[in-house]
Amino acid sequence: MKKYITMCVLGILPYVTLAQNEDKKIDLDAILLFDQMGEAIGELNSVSFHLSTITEEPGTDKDIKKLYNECDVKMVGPDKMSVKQHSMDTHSAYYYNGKVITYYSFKENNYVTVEAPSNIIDMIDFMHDNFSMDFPAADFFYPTFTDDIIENFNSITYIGLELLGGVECNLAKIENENVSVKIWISAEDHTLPKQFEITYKKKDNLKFQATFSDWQLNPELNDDIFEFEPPTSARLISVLIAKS
Amino acid sequence: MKIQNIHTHIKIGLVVFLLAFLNPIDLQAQRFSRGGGGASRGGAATHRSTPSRSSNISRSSATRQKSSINGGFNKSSSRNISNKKTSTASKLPSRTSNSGIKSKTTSRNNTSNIANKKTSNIKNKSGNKINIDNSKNNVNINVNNSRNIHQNNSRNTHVNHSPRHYNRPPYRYGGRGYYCHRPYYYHPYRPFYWGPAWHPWGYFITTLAATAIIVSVENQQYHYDNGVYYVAENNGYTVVQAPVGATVKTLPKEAEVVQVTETTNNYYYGGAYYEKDANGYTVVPATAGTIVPNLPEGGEEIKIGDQTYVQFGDTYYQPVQVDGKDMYEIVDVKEE
Repeated sequence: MKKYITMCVLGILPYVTLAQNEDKKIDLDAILLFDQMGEAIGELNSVSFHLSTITEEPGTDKDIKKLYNECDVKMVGPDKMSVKQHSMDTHSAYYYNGKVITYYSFKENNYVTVEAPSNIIDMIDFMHDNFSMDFPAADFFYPTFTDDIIENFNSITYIGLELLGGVECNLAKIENENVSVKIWISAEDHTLPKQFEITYKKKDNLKFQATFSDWQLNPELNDDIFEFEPPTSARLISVLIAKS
Repeated sequence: MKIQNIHTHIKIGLVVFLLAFLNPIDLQAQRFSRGGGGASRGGAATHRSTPSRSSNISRSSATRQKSSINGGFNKSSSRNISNKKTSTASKLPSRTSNSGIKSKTTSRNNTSNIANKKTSNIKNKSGNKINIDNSKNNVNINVNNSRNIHQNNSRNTHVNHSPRHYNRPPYRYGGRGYYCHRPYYYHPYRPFYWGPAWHPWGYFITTLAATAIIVSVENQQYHYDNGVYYVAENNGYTVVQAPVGATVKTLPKEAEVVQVTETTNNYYYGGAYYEKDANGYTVVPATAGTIVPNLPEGGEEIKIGDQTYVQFGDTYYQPVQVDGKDMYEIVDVKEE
């Protein structure tokens, strides 16, 4: 019996159960990995990267429809950001200069400009909360990334090394009652995210996948790219706040 | 004495409770783990819960490193995971170096010129506007009761629900579903003029044509002439929206028949909808699902999520295309 208890304890030990997270399985290796990635991102003064996403949606004939989207993201800390995204249905861009943010639709040639908070993270929150406007892979850029994961997921596991697109990556998996997320983080050069895949458990296991590429770390980015100059025929229009 | 202690405890509790709500961290929190859709953020969210946060997470703007894209990485001090030892060897490969990211010093010119930047009108259904207080990094929403000419014309813009079933899923935004029978097909809003006799809402004239007649609706007198309704004010007459319930004998020849259901038609002129009966033509509210070829002046293009609608008070028009022609469908907006 004593031997049995000892074996159980050893089996559980890799999953540290914190006092405030009694029902959670937290793998220290995964936490360390997320911290390394968070620190790498937190050290950046400027960054640009490309993000390719695939969103699964239910099709009309019970099939699964895949929507592809390509994004180019540029940031200069603490208060400059631009996002250009292109898909079948959308061709749009965000320009944030630390004072205002503009959402421009190339397809419709109209735009909305609103005053925005004075740093990237607060601006992302502001746009999400008020206008339901989302930014690609923004979660990875929150300074409390690891703590957010610990707080919101019941299971955090380090899986191991995996080759992804020719790059050796550390793979971690996080899970709660709604989603299961796999996160690949580069094990080479810089500890930056390479890919993540979300499986929506309560939505027929539909998936969302995003792949990072073309990371440029601390590039010289001119302020002009964060300023929106409307084309002469573009229309400034109103915007509806999302909250009821 | 005991009662005094209880009061003191209640006061302290109240202060702690309020402080918890004022914590700017709690005002933010769109996070990876929000649980649903939100794929474009990479986040896992359709419903956004605001998780309670441990108070020792330091993430105030004041403490941010100014040049970092996110103010620098923060770890909760109570977590203390990295100091714990496991009995098994770590599976994570040892890190050969630090992140290797060394920042360059960049000199940037601040060319921002917000003073000349025209911003959008931010609206919710009650016409509120948002003001940002950048010094506190939060958002104050103030009710702006000043109304412009567009908002003045928001009377009688109630929309009757469509009697027809929607086969198409709604466009969902902000807790509402925007239902339409036809797919969204954007085309810019260009107000239509129905002819020299027609005037847009808010138009002011000093004298009426001799052909004008008086129409009374709920103790309010209107002057009607050639499909246009006027109200006497300021020593003249101002064009107003057609009052629901008003009945007139004739409509201008430019009035068009628009289909409401398979068995019901309306007459449409100058942004107003009429039902025909033995007494003439009676102004009725718009019915969702009705498709109209043109919209009058007085509307406003408004971005709702990714889509752009034309708004007249509570009436939203979705741009659509019918047989290759640009048209508008009245949207059925439902709280969900």
